[in-house]
Amino acid sequence: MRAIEIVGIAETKFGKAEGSFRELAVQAAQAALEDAGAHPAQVEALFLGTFSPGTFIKQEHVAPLIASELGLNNVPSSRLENACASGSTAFLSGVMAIAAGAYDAVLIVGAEKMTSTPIGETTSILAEAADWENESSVGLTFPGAYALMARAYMHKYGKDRAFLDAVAIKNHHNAMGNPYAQFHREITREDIAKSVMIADPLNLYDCSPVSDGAAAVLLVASDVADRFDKPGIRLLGFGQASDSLALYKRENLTSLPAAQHAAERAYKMAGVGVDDIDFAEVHDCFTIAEVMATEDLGFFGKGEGSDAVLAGATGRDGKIPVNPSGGLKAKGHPVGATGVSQIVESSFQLRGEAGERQIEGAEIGLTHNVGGSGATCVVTILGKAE
Amino acid sequence: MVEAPTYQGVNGTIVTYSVIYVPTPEFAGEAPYVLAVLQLSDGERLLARLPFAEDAPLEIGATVAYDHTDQHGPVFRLT
Repeated sequence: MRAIEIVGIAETKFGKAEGSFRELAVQAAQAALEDAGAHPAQVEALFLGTFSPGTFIKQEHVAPLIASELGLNNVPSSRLENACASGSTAFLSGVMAIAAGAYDAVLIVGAEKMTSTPIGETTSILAEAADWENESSVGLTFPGAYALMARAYMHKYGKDRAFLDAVAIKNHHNAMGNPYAQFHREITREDIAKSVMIADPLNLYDCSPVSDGAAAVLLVASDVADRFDKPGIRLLGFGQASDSLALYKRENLTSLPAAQHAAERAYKMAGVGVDDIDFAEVHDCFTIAEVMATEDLGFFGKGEGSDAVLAGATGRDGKIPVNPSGGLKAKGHPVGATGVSQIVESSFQLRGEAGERQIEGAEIGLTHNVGGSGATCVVTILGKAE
Repeated sequence: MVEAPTYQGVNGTIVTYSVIYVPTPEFAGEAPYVLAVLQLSDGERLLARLPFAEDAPLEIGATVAYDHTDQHGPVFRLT
């Protein structure tokens, strides 16, 4: 495949933002262009990942909206939707377009504006990413779907919820070093024990928050990378896989088969093994999801991810740092922005520009972005500039 | 219109479950309620509700039976 690099990166601070959907998307996109030393005229296409602007802000047809606001004029622009994996799906669409030789430089933007909607409605909108006819209409919420997996995991491996607490505490701690994170607040087991139950066994601190935010990357063919200012972060491999929308139809409820398939493809393409990965940004929409991810990606055996987080193996100084950014849990989860933000955060790490959250000597990073309860998964493997 | 499947006389076991405390607006006033993945005796798998009771012996592997159907679908009960 044609070699591809990331030469421009940016994200907005996640959380409840003053800016509108278009303002956030434009802010991230312009900052990514500026980071690369690129002019809008060098962008040949726009791929926008967003989940549900039609329901969140009553605006569809958002790709040309953002393209025109950016002054990209007549370039092709397309919006990609794969629930919470919309951002990484947009990224892979850009990858495919460059690999096919259609373009040399494309802009990838992920964005979501979630906080202007009443919280009950937000729960309902997010539930639309599940199988409506068989799950949401029966009363399943997104926290509920992951609660079904958490219960199955705890039963199968004989675990109490201490490992879930450990994920939340670690990710809140990591977010302290991330200026773009929604939360800058350490939490304790006592805070968690006092918090409200959302979907038993998951309480408020097991859940990623409702967030506004945007992230953007300028993706280019390696053969034109010298037109831009920054050393390119190399795309070493990627994989995407699908599964049933309905969780209950799957035989195995303690891992996400789509994540395993996506990871297998990404490792194979990159020609690297699990032990070569220096850090990972994974989709911890709920605490249980991070633990399953560390097993699906092969960092730990089945049922062992829970002990690993308790032992500190996924901490910033651990065997495999997981979510040094704070993850969805504490960095925030503006749905469509998340997949792109994981790539931005990984690129900061691989450039050595991650500040307080820097993993020393990081050369290869992995991102894992999940849509729904595992019906879509995208894994990318990125490497520092040669 | 397709007839909703009937579960009259159907039994099953709980594969996994959650108690939903924060529902979507369509279920406002009904929470908390139990949602369970059920393995039915006829081989089908199903996501269905059970009424919540503080002292009910709710656990993975517990046996259930079809109780009734309401506007949201079938409701099972512990047996």
